[in-house]
Amino acid sequence: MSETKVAERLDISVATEGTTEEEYKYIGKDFPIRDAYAKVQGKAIYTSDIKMNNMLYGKIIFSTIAHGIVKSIDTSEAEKLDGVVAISTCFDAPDKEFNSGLRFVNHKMKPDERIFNQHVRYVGDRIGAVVASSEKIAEKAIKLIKVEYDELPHVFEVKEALEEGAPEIHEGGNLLGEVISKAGDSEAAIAGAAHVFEGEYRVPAVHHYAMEPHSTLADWDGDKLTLWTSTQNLFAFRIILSDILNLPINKVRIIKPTVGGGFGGKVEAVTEPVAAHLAMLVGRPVRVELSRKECFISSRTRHEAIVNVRTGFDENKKMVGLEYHVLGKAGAYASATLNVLGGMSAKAMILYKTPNITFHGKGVYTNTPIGGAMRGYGSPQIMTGVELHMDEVAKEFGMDPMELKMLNLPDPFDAHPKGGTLGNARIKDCLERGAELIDWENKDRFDNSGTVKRALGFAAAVHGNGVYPKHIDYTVIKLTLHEDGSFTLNTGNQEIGEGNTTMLMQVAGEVLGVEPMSFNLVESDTELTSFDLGTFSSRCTWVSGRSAKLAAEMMRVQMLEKAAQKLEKDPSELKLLAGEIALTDGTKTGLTYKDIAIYVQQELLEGELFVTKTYYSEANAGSYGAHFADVSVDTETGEVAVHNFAAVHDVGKAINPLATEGQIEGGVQMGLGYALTEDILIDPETGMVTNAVTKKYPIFRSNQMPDIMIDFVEEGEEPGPYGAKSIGEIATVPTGAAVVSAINNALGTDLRRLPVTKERILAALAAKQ
Amino acid sequence: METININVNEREYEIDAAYEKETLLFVLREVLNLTGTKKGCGTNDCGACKVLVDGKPVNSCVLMTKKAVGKKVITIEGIANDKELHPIQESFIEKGAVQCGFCSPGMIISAKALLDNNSKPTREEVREALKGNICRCTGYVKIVDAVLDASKKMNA
Repeated sequence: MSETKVAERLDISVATEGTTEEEYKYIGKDFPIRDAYAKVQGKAIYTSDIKMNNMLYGKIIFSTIAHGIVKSIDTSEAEKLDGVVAISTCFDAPDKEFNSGLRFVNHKMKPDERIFNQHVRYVGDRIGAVVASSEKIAEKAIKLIKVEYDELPHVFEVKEALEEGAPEIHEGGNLLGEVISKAGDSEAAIAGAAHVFEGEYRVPAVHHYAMEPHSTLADWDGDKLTLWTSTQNLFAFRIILSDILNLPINKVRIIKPTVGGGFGGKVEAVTEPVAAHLAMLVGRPVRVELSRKECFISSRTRHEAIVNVRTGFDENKKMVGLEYHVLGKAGAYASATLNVLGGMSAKAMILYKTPNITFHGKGVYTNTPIGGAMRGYGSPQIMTGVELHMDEVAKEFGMDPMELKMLNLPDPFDAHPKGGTLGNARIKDCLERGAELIDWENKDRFDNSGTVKRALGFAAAVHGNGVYPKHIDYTVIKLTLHEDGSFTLNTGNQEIGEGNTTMLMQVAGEVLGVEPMSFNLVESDTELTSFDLGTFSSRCTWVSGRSAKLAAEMMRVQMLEKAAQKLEKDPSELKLLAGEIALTDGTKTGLTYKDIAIYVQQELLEGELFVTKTYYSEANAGSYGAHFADVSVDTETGEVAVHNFAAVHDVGKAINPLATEGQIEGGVQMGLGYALTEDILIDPETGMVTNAVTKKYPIFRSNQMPDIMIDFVEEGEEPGPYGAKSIGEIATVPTGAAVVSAINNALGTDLRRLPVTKERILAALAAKQ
Repeated sequence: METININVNEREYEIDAAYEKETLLFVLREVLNLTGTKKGCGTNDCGACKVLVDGKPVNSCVLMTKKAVGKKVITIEGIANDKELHPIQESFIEKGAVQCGFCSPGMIISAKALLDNNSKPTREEVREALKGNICRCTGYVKIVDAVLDASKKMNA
C-alpha cells in the first residue's frame, strides 16, 4: 500500500481512533530524560569529548576595538612558534557574507557577516584564527600577532545610533529594518479613549549561559566536510557552510552529539564556519571551542530593548487600544534581529484583548555584541513591558491589578485581532490557580513596619507553538519495525537536553503499545536523518510530537494490514496490544510484532516495514502562563530575596509532567536572573564587555532559589499531540515582570528597568523621598 | 622522559612530568581521556569540573596537577560501584535532576562530598552545598530533590 493510501486511510479511520485519557499508558507519565543513565556516569559524548587522530585546535583572533578597518595583521612571530600549523585571517579566508541565524534555503535574512571580518564592528568580532597542536600554543600564538586598525567612530546605544550623523556601522545606516504589524486602528482608539497611559521599559542583553560552551569539530577528507557541533539548527548550518565554502549540500555533513543546553544560543552559526574553514585549510580535523569569556563576548545575547507601551481604556477600564514601539539592539550584525521583532509582533496580538493593536519594532545596529535568538524570542521583552505597564495602570485606577487583567485578558476561542481565534487560550485559568497558590487574596498580609518590605507580584504572558504562518515548519519521523519486534525512531528533530526526544518516544510508544524507552533513537545527522527545521520557536512538542504521532499511526495501519493479510482477516477486526496482535475485544491472535516483521521480510518479500511521515505544521497556538513572586526588599541595602514562587502554565497536556516541571523550574531560574542580576555590561568608552566572567555575571545559585509551586492547566489544544503544546520558552517569559512587580508593590515604586539591581532600588527609593 | 604518578579512581597513572604544570582538568580530559569531567567556565566559578581530591570537592579547572600528586582523585567515572550506579546517580535519574547533563557530573561530585560528611542533610543544607555548581536547565529543584532522595536511600 502506498504512503498516500495509508495516509488516506489514516484520515478516515485511524486519526479518530485511540485510547481515552484514562487509558493512556505513557502519555502524562513521568519519564527521566532518555540519556540520563549515560549522563550521570559522565558517559554522554558532547562535542569537545570527541578526539580524532591528527586533531588540531583552533583559536579565534578577536577584534580589540569596537569599530574600524583591519589594516594589517602581522603573523610572522606567531608562525615561528613550535606547534603552530596555520594562521588564517580576513585577508585570505573565504569572504562570502552570511546570516548566522538562517533556517532554510532562500530564507530572507540579511547576510552581513563573514567568517573573518576586515571591517570590525564590535570588540569580539572575528578577524582570524590560529591552528596549532594544542589550545595553549594557539593562545600563545595569538598573543604574538600584531593587528593594526584604522579606527572608526563607534556607537553603543540604540537611540544614539539612530541619530543624524551617527557613525554608520553598515552601509545604508544603522536602521537594520522595521517590523510593523497592525490590527484595527490603535491610534484612533487611543485618541478617543477615556484614559490613556504610556511608559518606557528597558530590558538588558543577557547571556544564554548554556553550561556547554560553543564547540565544533570539523573534518575535511578532501571530498566531504563533516562537522560534529553543539547546535540546535543543524540543517541550516549545512546550507550556510555549503554556501560560504562553495560545496555542494551533499558534501557537507553535520552531526549533533549530545548538547549541553542551547536556550537559543546555538541556533546561530558561531564556531561552525571557522572550524569548517580551518579544517579545509589544513586538511586535518580541527576543534574550535570557545572559552566562557568568548561565549559572553562573541556568541549571541538576548536583545537589549527599549519597549514603549501605550494603552487606551474606556470608562469601564476595558482596554480599547494597545501599542508597542520597540527599539531592539541588533548589535554588530543583523543575525536574527528582524525575526525576533517579528516574533514580538505576533505575540503582541494575543495577550490582551482589544481589536486595536499596533506593533512597531526597529532593529538597530550598534557596535556591541550580537543580539540573537534566545528562549522566548522577543516575548520576555514585550511581556515585561506590558505587564509592568498594566501594574501602573491598575495603580492609577486604584484597582487590584488582578481585577484589571482579568477584565482585559482573553477567554478561550476569543477572536484573534487579525482574524480567526486565539484557540484554547487559558490565561485566566492560569491567573486564578496561581492566585490561589500564592494566596493573592491576602496579598497585604505581610508586616511591613520595619525596613524590610515584603510583597507579592505577578505577570501574565504568552508564547507560541512553531513558526506557522511565518514560514515553513517541518519535522520528519521515520519508524522501522525490526525482526525482533523492536522499533527504531529516526528523526532530524534536535535534542539539546530538554527531553524532546523522550517526548517523541512517549508519543510513538503510546500509539504502538510499546515501552517508550525501548525505541532505538537515531537523531540529528544531516546524512542519516531528514530535514527538520530545528529546535527553536517552541516547535518540538507541537510539530515534532505531532509528526511522531502521525508516523506511529501510519505504522499501526501498516502493521494491522500485514497482520490481517497473514491472519486472513480484515484490519478493522484487529488491534495492537503491547507487542502482540489482538482482536478488537482483546483476544490474542498469537501473532506478535516480531512475526509481522519476519512475515514482511520473508513471505511478502518486502524487506523491512517502515513508514516516513513528513509533517508540515499549518497551525499555531498560544501557550499562556502566569508567574507569581513573593519577594522582600531590604530598603537599607537594596537587597532582594525571593521567598516563594508560583508558576501556572497552559500546556494543553503535559506529556511528561516531570520534564514539564523541569522546564518551568529552569525557566524561573533564568527569569530571576533577568529580573535581578544578569546584564552584559559594556564599557562606555571602549565597547568592551566588562563582566565577561562568571564571577561578575551573577547567575542564580541553588541557595538563592525560592521554592516553586507549579500547576498545569491541561485543557488540550488541537492539533498538538494528545492536546499538548509548548512549555520550553514560555516558562521563562513571565518571570521578570512578576518579580519586578513584587518589588514595586513592596516599595511603592515604578521601577521600569531590568535588571533591578541594588543600586537601582536604592536610587528609586532616594528619588521617591 | 621524567614522569609523575597520579591516582585517579583508585588507579595509578604514570604521565609525563611536564603535565604537572597543566590543570588537573586538562590532564583528566586530554591526557587520561576521562571526559566525564566538564569544562564550563575555566575560572573556578561554575563547578562543572568538580572532582574529589582526598574526599574534598575541588574545581579541577584551576587545580594544578602537581597538587594532586600523592592524593586520591575521584571523578564522575569513579562514582559508580562496578556495574551498579551509586544511589546519588540513581536518584538523579529517577527524580528528573538531569536535563542537558553538562552540570550533572560536577553536581554529583558535590552531592557525594556532602553526603559523605553529612548523611542526613536538610533541604537548606543541600542547597548550600550545591551553591558552587551552576545549572542552567533545572532551577536546581529536582537536583536538590535527588540529593535528599539519595540520602534517604543511603540511610535505609
